Amino acid sequence: MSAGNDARAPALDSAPLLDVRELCQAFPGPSRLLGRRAAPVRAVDGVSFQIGRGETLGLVGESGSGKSTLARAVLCLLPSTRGSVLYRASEACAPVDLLAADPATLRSLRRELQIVFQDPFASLNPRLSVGEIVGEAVRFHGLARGEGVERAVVRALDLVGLPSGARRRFPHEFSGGQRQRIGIARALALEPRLVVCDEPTSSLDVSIQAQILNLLQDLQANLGLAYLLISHDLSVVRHLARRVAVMHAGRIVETGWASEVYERPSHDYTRALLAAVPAERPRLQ
Amino acid sequence: MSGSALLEIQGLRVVFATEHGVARAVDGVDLALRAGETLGLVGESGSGKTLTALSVLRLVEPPGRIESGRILFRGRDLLSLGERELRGIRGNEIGMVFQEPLSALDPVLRIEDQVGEALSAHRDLARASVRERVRELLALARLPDPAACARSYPHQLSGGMRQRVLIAIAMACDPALVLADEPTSSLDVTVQAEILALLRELRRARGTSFLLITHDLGVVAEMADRVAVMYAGRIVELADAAELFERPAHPYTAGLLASRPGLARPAERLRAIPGAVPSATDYPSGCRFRTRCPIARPACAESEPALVPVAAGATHLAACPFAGELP
Repeated sequence: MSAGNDARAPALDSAPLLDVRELCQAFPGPSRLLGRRAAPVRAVDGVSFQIGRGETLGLVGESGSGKSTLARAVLCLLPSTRGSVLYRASEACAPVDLLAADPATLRSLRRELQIVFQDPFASLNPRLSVGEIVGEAVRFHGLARGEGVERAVVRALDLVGLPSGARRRFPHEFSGGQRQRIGIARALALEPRLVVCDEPTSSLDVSIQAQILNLLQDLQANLGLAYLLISHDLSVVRHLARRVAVMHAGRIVETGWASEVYERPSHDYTRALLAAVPAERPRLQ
Repeated sequence: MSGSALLEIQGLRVVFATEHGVARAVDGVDLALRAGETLGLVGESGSGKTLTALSVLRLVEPPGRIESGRILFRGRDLLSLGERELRGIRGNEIGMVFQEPLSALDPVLRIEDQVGEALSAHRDLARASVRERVRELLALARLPDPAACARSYPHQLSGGMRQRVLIAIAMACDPALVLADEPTSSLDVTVQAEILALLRELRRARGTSFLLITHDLGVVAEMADRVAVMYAGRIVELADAAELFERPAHPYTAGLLASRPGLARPAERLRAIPGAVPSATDYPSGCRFRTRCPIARPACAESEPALVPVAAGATHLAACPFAGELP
């Protein structure tokens, strides 16, 4: 089925921002008696997809499907990833395979590929001020120095709707929604081209989720960001993504335009997933 | 309320002493649950919905404290019962299902011992009949191989299976009422659908009443006969489920419904509710939602609106005098 679906995937421009080919990520199997190990777990098993400039690819799947592992593998955050992750900063550039790049090249390109995590409580260092959290990476990547860092921080906070005074406060002083804004500001401070959003609203209340989804939409429109949006929530993905990929057991089982996949799912797993979503309003008894 | 109420919560107040002052987490809740019905109690984090459920069984832990109110179950006030009498009701006449199916089970006991314990606590049964009854309960919760499951430890089961075990424990003594706090929130959507189907089946077969606490309006739409919406420690709207989704009267309920992304909707902007939930130590004066409300006016700051019928004689209640003016 998966091979057949690739044919349905919408055609992208010839020079996509990200072109992931046959990505595989295995982890050692659990230890057994006498030092033997079980077979490796193939968390991501031959996944290919592309993301165009300024577009959102939604990746849906349930827990254990491999979607978060995929995000980390794409960003070269895991050891012994196989396959290739071809990145093209602009259409004029030659593609660079991030998985084969030397450390210095990878470090300089990392700035352009950022990630926003699910849990805004765990992903912000509680001992650093917001200014330090957002400014740290700016300094590391040498984007600015001295007062320039401060200006970059204020600009990033402004983009996510936080006042400049927020930089002198600490994560615990903020609500969950505001913390997620801080996490987004940290990513934006590096002026990325692609932001991987891994369950960006899963720990937020409904009313706050809507604020963050609107913010992500606005940022994309204003900054031309591309998103790889990972979520178990089919409504969230439907709302933000133009194209979707459905992941199950380490593979993409269906991919295509969001409207088509949601209205005419062709894979059994996608159909089961869509059928399980609770009704938006009570059905007539 | 009517004499047919199985559970009646009256003027419930739960407070916490914090370093920022007294948090009025549940602040004057009145709620009645009829025999056989499923009442959805919806709210966002910090609204007081879980504490309301915990209060029913007096499980609020210090520094939290039930300050005042009455909780009548089959005519008896649970808040004035002795600890012994209350133990005769917990797990027996009132069952509980909580959110985290892993932390609610003891990791070093086999499933049969945990389900058996719930039975033996209230029933004088011989060991052989406990064993048999445990298998019946696991089968009732639709666990695929009850005998094998009975011998398992919690870590050997999936999240969905663990939640089925917790449902078997809640149903052990055939309770009249089950308090279910976010029973599916930690589960995948396909597993959630199975658990909701199981709860509907139990309700139909046993006539059990459910107080279903959730933040998820989809779960409410699937399960509830009536819905109470909580905001900042108070109930702001109460209506039949279909009515609430079709004609929300309180601006908060309307805002919640409008802020949900849908499966069918194209990528337009969501109508988010601005701002954040106020702190329980520092509610705004008057209506607690007024600082985020699209139809707020100066009068809203003056007095706290009462939960009243939206029209004369209506069963649909809302705590907003301007409910009719929603756009």
